[in-house]
Amino acid sequence: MEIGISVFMIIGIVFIVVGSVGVLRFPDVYTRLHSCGLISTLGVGSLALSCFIFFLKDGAISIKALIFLVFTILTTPVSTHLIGRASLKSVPLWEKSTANELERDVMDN
Amino acid sequence: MLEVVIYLSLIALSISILILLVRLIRGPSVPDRIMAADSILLLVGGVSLILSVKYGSDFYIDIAILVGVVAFVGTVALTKFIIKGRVIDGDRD
Repeated sequence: MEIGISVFMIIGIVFIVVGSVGVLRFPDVYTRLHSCGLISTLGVGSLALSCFIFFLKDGAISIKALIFLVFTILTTPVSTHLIGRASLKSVPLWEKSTANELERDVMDN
Repeated sequence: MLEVVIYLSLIALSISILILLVRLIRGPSVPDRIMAADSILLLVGGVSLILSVKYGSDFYIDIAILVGVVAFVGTVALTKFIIKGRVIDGDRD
């Protein structure tokens, strides 16, 4: 039991540290959003899963950690998509980006 | 063993929050700052999840759920404000 909690916590921490270094180091908004989603989904989700395993013997308390996990996994793609959508009009792409498939969709709006 | 992992996790989460704070202050555009603020709030929720494992109390999970909800609603409101100029509008689409 304790090994499972530790393993999931270490997995979450590794994803969080790697994702935050990516947020610092990537050159563009659209590439930074990728690692932002990594932090929110896999990192905090693994922490919630370790909390779920820790409270598994208490019954109903562990459901709250599961609720947090499901809520985070459901709302992170929505907020990431909204941030990308909001930055399409104002922020230009990185100069080494090769494809801009969404340009005609922005022109329609 | 679990105590050591918990302390290492708290230290690593603090370092991650500091790194995201650098992006929040230095970010060249507004969506960068929204993204960093969203990630910082979710990491505060992660800190309270780890504290619930550390103290064996379940009230910290409620704090994590509330912070997650506030982060999502704040992100949606700020991005809608950037896109349309106002948060609540009368459009049906």
